[in-house]
Amino acid sequence: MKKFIPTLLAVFIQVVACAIIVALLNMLDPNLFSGLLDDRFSGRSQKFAAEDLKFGIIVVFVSSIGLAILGSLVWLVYAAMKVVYHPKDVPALSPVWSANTLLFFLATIVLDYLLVGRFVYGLRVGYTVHVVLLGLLAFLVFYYPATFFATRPTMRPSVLFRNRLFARSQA
Amino acid sequence: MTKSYFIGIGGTGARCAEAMLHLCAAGLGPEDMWIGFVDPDSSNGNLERTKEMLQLYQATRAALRNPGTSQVSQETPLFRTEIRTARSGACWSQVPAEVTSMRDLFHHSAMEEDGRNLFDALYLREEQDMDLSHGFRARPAVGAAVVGARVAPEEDFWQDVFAAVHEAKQNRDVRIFIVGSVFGGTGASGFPVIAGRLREALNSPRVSISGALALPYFTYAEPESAGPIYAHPGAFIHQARGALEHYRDMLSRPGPNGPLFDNLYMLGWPRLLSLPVSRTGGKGQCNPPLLPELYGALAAARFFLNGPTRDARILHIARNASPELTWDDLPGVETAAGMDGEVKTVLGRMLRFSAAFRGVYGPLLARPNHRLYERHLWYRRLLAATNAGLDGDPAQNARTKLDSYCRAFLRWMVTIVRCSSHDGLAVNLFNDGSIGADGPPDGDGLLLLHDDLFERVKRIFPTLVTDSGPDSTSLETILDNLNAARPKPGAEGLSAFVEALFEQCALANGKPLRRSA
Repeated sequence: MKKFIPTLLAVFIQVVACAIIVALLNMLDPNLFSGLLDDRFSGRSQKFAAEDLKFGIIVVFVSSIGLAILGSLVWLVYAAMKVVYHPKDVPALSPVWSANTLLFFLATIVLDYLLVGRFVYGLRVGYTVHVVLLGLLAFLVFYYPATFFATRPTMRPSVLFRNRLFARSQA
Repeated sequence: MTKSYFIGIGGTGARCAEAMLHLCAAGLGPEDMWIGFVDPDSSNGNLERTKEMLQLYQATRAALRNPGTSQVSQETPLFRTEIRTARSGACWSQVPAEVTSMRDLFHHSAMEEDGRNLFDALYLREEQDMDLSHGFRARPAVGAAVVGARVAPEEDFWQDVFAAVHEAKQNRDVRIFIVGSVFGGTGASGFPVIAGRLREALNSPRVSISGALALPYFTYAEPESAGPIYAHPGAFIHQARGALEHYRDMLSRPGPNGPLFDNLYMLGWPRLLSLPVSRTGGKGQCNPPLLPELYGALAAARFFLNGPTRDARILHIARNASPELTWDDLPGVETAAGMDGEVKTVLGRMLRFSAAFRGVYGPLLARPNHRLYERHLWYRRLLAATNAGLDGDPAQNARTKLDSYCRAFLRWMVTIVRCSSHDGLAVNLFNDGSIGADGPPDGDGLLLLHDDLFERVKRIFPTLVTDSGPDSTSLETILDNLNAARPKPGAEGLSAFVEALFEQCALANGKPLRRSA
């Protein structure tokens, strides 16, 4: 149980941070998003379209952060359950960490594109990439700190990275 | 500070001293102890092994407690005891180098006729001509005469012990503990004579003299080519009976300087343990360590740490009546506040530490290997940050010494458990099968270890020690905790890591012992 407490704590902190960000985004004036709107919106409809756009962007953020939380949870649970009796058994850049990161990173890109295409109403086409990139940024901001700091020290990716670099330099 | 003196007489005394050294390494010894061995057979295998262990202890301690290079913190009990020996060496022979027999020693040919006749009446011709360089071959009458003639303050070896009277005059407690067997030659003859000489010379209320007297507890097949006089195992019981009657008379009539012993521990075993080797004297006499010797060392530790028990002169150490001997049956050592005197806790931790260091961490810290781990948190925090300098000779020397000590300790523990077990009594202190290899003892009387120690202990490490608490750390948890550990204040170099590992190997509280009163 002791090894899982940091995992639970990390998930809790991430959820709280996500809720705060969503609340802050909700407090923003919808007019701030009017610059991202397609040209076809004007007059009174612009305000409603901006509201929808803000909501859509928040959905993209929340889904990216949700994937980050899920991805980090998968790694943290794996790292907590991995049995390492001997320092020589500590993996040099664990393939599990690499695969997990890549998988959730790609999943975030796909999901963000899907969400932007289907649910972000009225976004100018040229800004799709920007929103997806912002979603990825949110993913990374949540995923990396969680996997770096909440992982038990033996399996911490920073150690694994260094092992890998060192093994290479020795080779 | 109390001055402690440990004197081991003969082969049993040497093996009790070996056990005492291991207790000191585990943290159950006094802060400072003088140790000496009395044995005319300087090539005796038992004595050789103990002398080697003493040198290893001193070298390991010096390497781990070396200010400025590698130093454990003040609180750690690991190798706490500073052990000194006489300037002339740790071993003293009652028989001068140039003397080979009693006739030589007492200048038989130069004796007056009356004296010579008395001498001839008291000692057989074979005893007079017996080669004394290999001990007294279970002839205490010969030994007593020789020892009585030689224990004196003028002897270099005894100078430190006799000088203890000055410590007593400065109101310091002086505690002298003598161990020997009642059934051999060297121990049986030296034990009462040396105690008597010391009591006579160190007659002060600040000086306590105690001893542990081993009754017959082992036997061996009679050697085929030992000459006319040798330690005949069949006579041990009869000799012990005669000796005990002598002790009863001696203790019931205190001399002019008070009783000979403040406390006298009597050690025995329910049946004679059969030794797998049969040798008499010389290098070949290297018996495996047995549990009664550990009992003797525990008696010494108790005496050094607490002083004599005032209301008892003769102490018996007993065990529970059960076909299995467990930690419950080893007496606890009451210690000062802050020290753990539970034998299971102390020896169990040392056992786990030795297995972890020898099986896992020791090899990683060797010069070609350690760089592979210098990115690990445990390495950075406990070795790099404390300037361990593992590329340097001092750190590697300390590592090698500690590794050798851990190996010796594990071999000793495995041997003591296996060789003390017999039909109807299984010694169950730890999972010895995962540490010790099958087969008879090696030439040094100790069993060998498995080569793949790590593979054998990695899964059972939390339960390696019998009756470990459910929360005893696994090797996995130890690695996790080392990654989060910080050096203790005052700890530096390799010793900071060693101390952190030693702490992590502590046993969780197991089930309470059911020790009988």
